[in-house]
Amino acid sequence: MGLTSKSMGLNVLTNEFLYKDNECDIVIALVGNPNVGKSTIFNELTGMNQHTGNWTGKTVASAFGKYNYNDENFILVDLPGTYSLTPNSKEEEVTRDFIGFYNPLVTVVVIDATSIERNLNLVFQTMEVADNVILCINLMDEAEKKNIKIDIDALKKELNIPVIAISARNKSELEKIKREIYNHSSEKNITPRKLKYKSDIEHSITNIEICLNEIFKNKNNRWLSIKLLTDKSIIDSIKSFLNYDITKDILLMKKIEDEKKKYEDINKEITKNIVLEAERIYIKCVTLNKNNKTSKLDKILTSKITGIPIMMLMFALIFWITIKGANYPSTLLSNILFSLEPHIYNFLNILKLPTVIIDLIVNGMYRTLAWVVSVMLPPMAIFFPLFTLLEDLGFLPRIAFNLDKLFNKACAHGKQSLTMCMGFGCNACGVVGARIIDSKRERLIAILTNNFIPCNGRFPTIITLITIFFASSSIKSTIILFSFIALSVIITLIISKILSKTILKGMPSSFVLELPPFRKPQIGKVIVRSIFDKTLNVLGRAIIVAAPMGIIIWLLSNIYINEISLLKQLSSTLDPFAKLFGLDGVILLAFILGFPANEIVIPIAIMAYMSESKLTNLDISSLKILLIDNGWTYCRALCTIIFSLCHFPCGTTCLTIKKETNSIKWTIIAILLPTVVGLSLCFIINLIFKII
Amino acid sequence: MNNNISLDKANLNEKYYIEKVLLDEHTKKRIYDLGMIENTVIEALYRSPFNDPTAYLVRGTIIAIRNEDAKKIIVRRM
Repeated sequence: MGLTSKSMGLNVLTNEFLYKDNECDIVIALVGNPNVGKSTIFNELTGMNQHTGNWTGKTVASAFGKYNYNDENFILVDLPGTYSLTPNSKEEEVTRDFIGFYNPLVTVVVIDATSIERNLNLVFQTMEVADNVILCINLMDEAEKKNIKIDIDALKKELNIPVIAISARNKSELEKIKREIYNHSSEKNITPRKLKYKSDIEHSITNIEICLNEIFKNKNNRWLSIKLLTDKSIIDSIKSFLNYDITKDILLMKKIEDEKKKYEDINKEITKNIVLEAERIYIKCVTLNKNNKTSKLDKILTSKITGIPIMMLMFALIFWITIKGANYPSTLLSNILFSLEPHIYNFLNILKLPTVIIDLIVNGMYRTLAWVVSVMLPPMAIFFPLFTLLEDLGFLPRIAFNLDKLFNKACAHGKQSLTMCMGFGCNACGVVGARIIDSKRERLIAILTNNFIPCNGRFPTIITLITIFFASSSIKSTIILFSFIALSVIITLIISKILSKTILKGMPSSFVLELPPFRKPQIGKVIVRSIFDKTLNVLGRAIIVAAPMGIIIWLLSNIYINEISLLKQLSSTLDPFAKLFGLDGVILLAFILGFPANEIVIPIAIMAYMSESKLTNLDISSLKILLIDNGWTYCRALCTIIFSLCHFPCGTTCLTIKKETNSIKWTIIAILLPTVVGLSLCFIINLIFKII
Repeated sequence: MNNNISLDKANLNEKYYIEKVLLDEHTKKRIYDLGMIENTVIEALYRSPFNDPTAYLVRGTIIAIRNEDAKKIIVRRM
């Protein structure tokens, strides 16, 4: 399947070098369990100075950021959240490889003050591999609320590493982290307490270590030995990072197998050692005054009666706010941008550019851009922050919990519901997000079906058509929109099931999901971050794609052969084929030309319909007249909506799928699958309408 | 009297000790990483609207496990 960690791991390393301006830049790694606020710390420390963004605050790829402290440059690497350095997923392999083979100068382990015991597992494993480790206990404010008291000094003594306790929400506390990192980066002066295992295990480790000492000089051979005993995937990493193929070393391989055979399950023994040690330290250093195990909120959100309806309502509300709230700013933006148009025209005229070029720039490029910006920006600026709020609240894992049964029945993974949710924002993000699913088969299902979920770019098309043809009030259109979304979810489940019964046969893998405590999101920060990071990012990408597309479309509609424009000729060639599926040539061509960005489908169609052959500012009622004049019926509107739900992914998503699966075959399947499904559905709908 | 049952049969809001984990390698690893080793206290908190999966409290963290996997985790009554 090609989802190799090797390529990802090396990627991390090469990226790292790309961003290092200066040899003296100090590389700091940030590790932690999921949901410990690691990304918040990363964002606060590095500000806007980051190189790879991650979607709605969660780490799906390693992000790199820089900051300066006391005239030293620091490069902070935000590694994927992981429970252990004996990895279960590609994400976790990246984390293990980065710490184990790249050897950052300082490794900061971020843990959750409210769940120290479990988090200590990762702390011990990190101390085993890295020398300069700093423990950062985050969410102290939450711990205080829950009456959890932590004896920091005792913890320091037990682990023999620096310990800082902070609440990342509190900006001033972040200085503590910077200072601590600075203090310990000048010299390697931390020697973490290495965990001693039971004597028989120690003996096994030493036996392997002796062999490794012959092969690798100056490497952490104790750690490598432990990994070789517990973690098969380390062999690949040793091969790619240390250039040594252990599988060819028959003697060593035999030795490892012999040592393993001494135990029923060596992995269990080692984990047990760590867990028990964590328990001991926990009991010694943490006092819990009140045991508040479940929140009432959880009971309500997951109860049989209220769980599902509340979830639906929440989503309906988000969509309603997005639709309702986007209308006004959308009109305003479009008025402003279009009112600028004559001025740009005049300005270019003054520059004495040829009329054709001015036309191309203003009527081709600028109008398409203006359209894309005014249609896309407002809904995104509303949807992304709202969705991020739900995520920060801890609501998304509950969705996975509530819906897992359905996905289980479809032989898919409950976490697919989360990648689906991400798909509502952006399918490319959903595809990358599928990395959270640790079994290959289910991850592939999530990737291949993500495009059935309409993304932000497709909502304008769907909403516009609903408003024109099916509903007048915003409440009604919300309900209809919601039904289409439900339909897309049902299609996703059915296709997932079909995939797992055919080309991706296999049993659903296990589902172990943490339900983190609810947390009050920081509303101000969420809004700022999601607008600057996500909204402008996605918008920027759309603009890059839309500008050349505007030129192409303008050329197509302005180059005439036999007095008929190329656009018309192309669309009339497609027309008979498109009519089979209830569409027409223009809208099908618009979908094809809209391959770079789904946002421009309706604008292209409008341009093709209009005789002046350029985009114009249209309101809903004149748009309706235009469409009806061009032979639009309920059937065509419905088919267009369905085709919008199910057609080939946009360019960005296709590229992302190629990158994530590392396979052209799966990318082609990801393109064909929704297209075939969409065309079949449209064909059936068209047939039904004809019979009626 | 046999005090051992599989985790999916555990009563809600009652505490049990983990006795044995009989899952496949991959899942077992994940379960162990979450601190669910032998003699760890575990308590079923609530079930999802479709009765599956179930949320359990282990070492201060809430973890959801599918019933088909919980069947392969043997627990002992306190």
